[in-house]
Amino acid sequence: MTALKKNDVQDILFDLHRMQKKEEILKRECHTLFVASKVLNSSMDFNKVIQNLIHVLNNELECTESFILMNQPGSDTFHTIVSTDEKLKNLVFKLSDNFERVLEKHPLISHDIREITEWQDVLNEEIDSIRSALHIPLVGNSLRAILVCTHHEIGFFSKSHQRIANSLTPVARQAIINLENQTRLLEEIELRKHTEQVLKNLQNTLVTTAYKEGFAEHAISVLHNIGNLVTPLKARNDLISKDQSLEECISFCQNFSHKMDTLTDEKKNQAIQILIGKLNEFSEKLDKHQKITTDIVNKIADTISAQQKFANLKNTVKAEIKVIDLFNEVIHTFTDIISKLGISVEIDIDPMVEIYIERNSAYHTFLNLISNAVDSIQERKLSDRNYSPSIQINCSQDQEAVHLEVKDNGIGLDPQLAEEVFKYGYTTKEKGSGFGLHSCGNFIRANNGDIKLISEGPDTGASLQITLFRGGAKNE
Amino acid sequence: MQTQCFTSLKLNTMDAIRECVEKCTLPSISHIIGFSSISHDAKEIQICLKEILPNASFHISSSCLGTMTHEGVKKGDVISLMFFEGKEASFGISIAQKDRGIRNIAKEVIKNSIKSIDRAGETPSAIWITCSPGAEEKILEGITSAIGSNVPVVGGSSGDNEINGKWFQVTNEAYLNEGLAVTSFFSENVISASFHCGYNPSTYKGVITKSSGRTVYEIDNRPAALVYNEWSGNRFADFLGAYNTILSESGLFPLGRKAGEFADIPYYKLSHPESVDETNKITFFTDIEEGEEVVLMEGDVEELIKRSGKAINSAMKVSELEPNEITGCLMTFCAGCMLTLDFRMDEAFAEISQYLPSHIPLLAGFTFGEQGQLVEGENAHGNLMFSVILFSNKRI
Repeated sequence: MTALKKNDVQDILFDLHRMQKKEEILKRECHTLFVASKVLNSSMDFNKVIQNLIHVLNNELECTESFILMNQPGSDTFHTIVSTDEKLKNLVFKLSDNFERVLEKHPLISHDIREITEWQDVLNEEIDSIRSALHIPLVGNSLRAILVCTHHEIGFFSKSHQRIANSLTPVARQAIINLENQTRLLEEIELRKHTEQVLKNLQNTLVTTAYKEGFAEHAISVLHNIGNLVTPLKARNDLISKDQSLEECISFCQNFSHKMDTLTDEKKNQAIQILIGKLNEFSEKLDKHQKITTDIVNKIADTISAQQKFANLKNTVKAEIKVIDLFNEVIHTFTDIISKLGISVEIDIDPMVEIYIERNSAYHTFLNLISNAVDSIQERKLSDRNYSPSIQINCSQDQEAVHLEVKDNGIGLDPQLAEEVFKYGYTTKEKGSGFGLHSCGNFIRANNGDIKLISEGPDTGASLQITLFRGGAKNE
Repeated sequence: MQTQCFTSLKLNTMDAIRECVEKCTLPSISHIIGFSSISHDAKEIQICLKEILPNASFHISSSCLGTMTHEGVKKGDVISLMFFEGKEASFGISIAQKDRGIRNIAKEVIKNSIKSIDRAGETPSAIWITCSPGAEEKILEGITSAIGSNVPVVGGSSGDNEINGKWFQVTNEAYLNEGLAVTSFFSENVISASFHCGYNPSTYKGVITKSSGRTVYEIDNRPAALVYNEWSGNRFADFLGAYNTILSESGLFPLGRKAGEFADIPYYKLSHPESVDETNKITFFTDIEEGEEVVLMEGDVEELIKRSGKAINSAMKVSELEPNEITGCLMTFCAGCMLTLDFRMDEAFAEISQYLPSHIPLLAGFTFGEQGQLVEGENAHGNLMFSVILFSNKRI
């Protein structure tokens, strides 16, 4: 075994010392990279990140001052966006080959910035003390920036700095891309939040509008239904007001009182019997009036009550209702006007046919249909007093549906307008609201049904045909 | 940074250069660094290179008695050229006549070399320097003042065969006899350097009490040659009191000046005694200032042989380079050491090959002074040293 020579021992000691020094340098480089990476990933706030980054690197690399230059896409200048020294915050650099190369992810070490083209344009007293600089690219997908670490000595930056810059470049790039993505995500979230708020506001407006519309429609429906009931009430009232029975009684009594002294007892008795008969007749009429009026007033009260329930958003109760009963009730309401206009009403309804429906609304729907038929007849009668008005009501059923038809020989309609009558606000009547058939259509469709109006043209009458399909309705 | 290196022994310069170029298989040649014996004329070298490779930059220096490449030591009429491919690297060159104010000249030369490839202000990865012997310290000061002290400056003082000023430096711009030429390397890959000597300090030391430039009159207030002779065991008794060249005899006994400490062990810049005269002053190949402490360094042939290889090994260790990562090696090998080793130079080459496999291009010139980066990173000029620069494909 040969003994180690002095030079060999020296070599070993040199190697050991070199390794120790390398370890120290590596530790320092790792520490710098670690803290820089930590800063780069510390926050989603870009400004905060770069502000911290320059301070950390400035300390770690023992620089004089550091700052970050930003290049806006399409611009040929760089502006300081953050710096460790206030006096460096307004620097403007023109983009040239050196910085272009840095942006291509090649860190640049300058031993003397006064020789660098980009720096020559900005030389002023603010940067008078700066001699060397390390330029590290901070490049993301859209960000074009350069981190500049400076020192007052010529040639301060070494291979070790270059290694740090080389290692930091991809780390910074990834962090910046992450930041950009996070920022974009936040912006997208903000945008979505904003859109959501706009939609919510729109929805609120829509709900409010719909509520108002619904409320208005509801009010119109109430008024319309009451209006439908007021029409026969008014007809009844006209009849009462035009009734001569009471005046005849009064006139008879006045004559009787003038002739009292001249009449025999027998004549007096006869006269009193006649008066009693007249009063009885009048009383019967009054009873009849009262009964009909009470019915109509009750219907109005029912309507108001039903609308109140609806307004309270309580579900109105559906039930199996015989169609014949509903129509009898409706026709009864129109007795006076039917009689007045001399309308022949034919009802052909299978007494067993039942529909599962909310009674009050169904009543008003059918009331609307009959009211329309009566109005149509009344209008035709104005121009043709000799014609014989008629209303036919048919109802049948099969496996699938109940089929209802209200047919009149009134004023009729242009067939092309048959679809229009169910639209809100459409009317052919001089004083119509355009609500009645619209409301009927809505009700029928809401009850799994279909409604259509068929007319061959003016003065040919019209047929309103309703189909109420079975199934589903009971299970609602 | 890919390289290839070839040698020609042809006497005709054009033929010699053409032979080297024709052997080169690099896809393109951007730059050439070469060493030539003084048998080739500097002007002729410039003309031929410009003609054969009009688009490449070149930087050639004369070498003492021959060159060494990965193919071995070639003595006689020889030219060796290392070709550099420009991929991922840039090479800036400049040359100037040495003159008064050499410090500023060096400063300008280095700046011009960087500016020549539009990289003004950008710090190069390494500097290759060749110059005529003399004022190397001031040249290094000038370079440091221009680019700082963090860039390795490696190279050597051009040699000739008889130390009679026939050395030269050639670039595209000029061919000079007393010039300073530099190549600035820019690379994104590791470039590693080391600067080594093969000597140990003896116990003999003294202080320079009278000197001027490269001439030392007195050590410890006594005639320098007398003191040096005593320290070296009376080896130079026959040369005292008259002008005599002692270059060859002093090859194993240079004076050392402490350059620093590494691992608490001092390391030295060497000064090679060139001649003595009737007043017993000694002239050296380095400046030695009054007040400097000098120590007699001792070496032996065996150690010199080993050291040449270790200089390479040291450059590899500095940057943790594996042989397969090395793409080329430039070296300045002290001509004094080469002369001392003489016929045993093949053993030194074998030692180098032990660390640097023979397929890796190597070019070494035999120089009259070496410049390199010492162990603590400072650039220095010394004698009887080996200065190495390794190129690699390893990313920084």
